[in-house]
Parts: sequence; structure tokens; C-alpha cells
Amino acid sequence: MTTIDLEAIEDPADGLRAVVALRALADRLEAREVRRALDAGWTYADVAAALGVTRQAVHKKHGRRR
Amino acid sequence: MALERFGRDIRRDVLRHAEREADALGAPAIGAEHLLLGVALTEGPGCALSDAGLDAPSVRDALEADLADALAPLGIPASAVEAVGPPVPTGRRLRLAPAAKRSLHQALRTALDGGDRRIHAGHLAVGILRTPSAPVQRLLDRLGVDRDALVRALSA
Repeated sequence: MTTIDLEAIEDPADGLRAVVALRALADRLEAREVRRALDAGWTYADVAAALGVTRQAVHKKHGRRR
Repeated sequence: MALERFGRDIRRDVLRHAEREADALGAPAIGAEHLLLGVALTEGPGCALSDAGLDAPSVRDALEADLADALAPLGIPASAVEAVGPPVPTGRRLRLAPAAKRSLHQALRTALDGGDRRIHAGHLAVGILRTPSAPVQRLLDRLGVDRDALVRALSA
């Protein structure tokens, strides 16, 4: 079990850099999982419900451009 | 900013590459580091940037390593970033981050100082290197690039 000691991040610059990186990782994970769900036959409404956002928001962010 | 002052290689290639790379990486905006990657992709092998070690594959790898380093203090291992998979563009439109805008302004100044009417990708590379940016600084440090020597090589 990894212990995370946030106090060990002394410089706020490192803390804020971690926030930006965490958001980037979350965005990449979201893109990957939404792709997988749609490939598996999920509807945009299903994906939206799972993410807790509107269907329009999913379309806007992950709508497939052909 | 009046983008028409910029050569077509910047408007069509560098900015498009930069946006695509920033999108794929999950970045909230196009940063100066993504512009630098855009220049490397536009100029290709054999340009001053790649000769200095800033070829596109190296820059991409360095940006991935930087992401992993930033997450390490949270207990998120580099293998988690790998598990999410390689960056894939989603087609998002992104705005320019402040450091990227400042880099474009510096590119304009660099071109004017050199008596050039057109701003090309080389001017932008110098503009990026003359603009303070923590991500670009980390990129240069990671790849062992001497900023001043590179600016001289690009200005030659």
C-alpha cells in the first residue's frame, strides 16, 4: 500500500503541476473509456448518465468526426 | 493577435500540429511546449531543433515523462500513465495558453529585429525559447538542451 504524503509536496508549484497532470490523465482516461463504451454499443445517453453529464456534453467532447 | 503576419507554415502546420498534440495529451490549452513540438513536427528531421535533440519523438517522450513525474508525488506510478495508453487526439479545439501567446509575440519581434516581413517556424522556435515557461524549461533540462546555444543556432 502506497502512502501518499501531500505535505511532502513542499513547493506549491509542484502541487499545482500535479493538479494539471491529474486533469490531463483524467481527460485521457475519459477519452479512452468513452471510446470503449461506444465501441461496445453504449448509447451517448448511457455514457452521459455514467459520467454524470448531459448527452450534449458527451457529443460535444467525444462526438465522432467522420 | 494578427495571425496574418505569420507565414502559412505557422498558421496551417505548426498551430494545427500543436493543437492536435495538446489535445492528445489531455492538456487544457495549447502551451508553449506544444508549440515547440508543433515546430519540430513541421520542420522535420535535419532542422536546428532536431539537431539540438528536440526532434518530435524525443519531445513527445519527454512530455510523457514530465506527466509521469508530476503525478509521482500523488503515488500514481508511471505505469498508470502507460496503462491509459498513448495520446490519441479527440478533435477538441483548444485556446492558446498565455505562454504560447507570448511566444507568438516574441516570434513577431524576432522576425522584425531580423528585418524579415514574414514570420516563419524558425522565428517561432526562437520566440518560444525567449519566453519564460516552466514546462519548456523542464523539457530543455530533460533533453539536456542548451537554450542559448540553440537560439544562436536558430538565428544563424
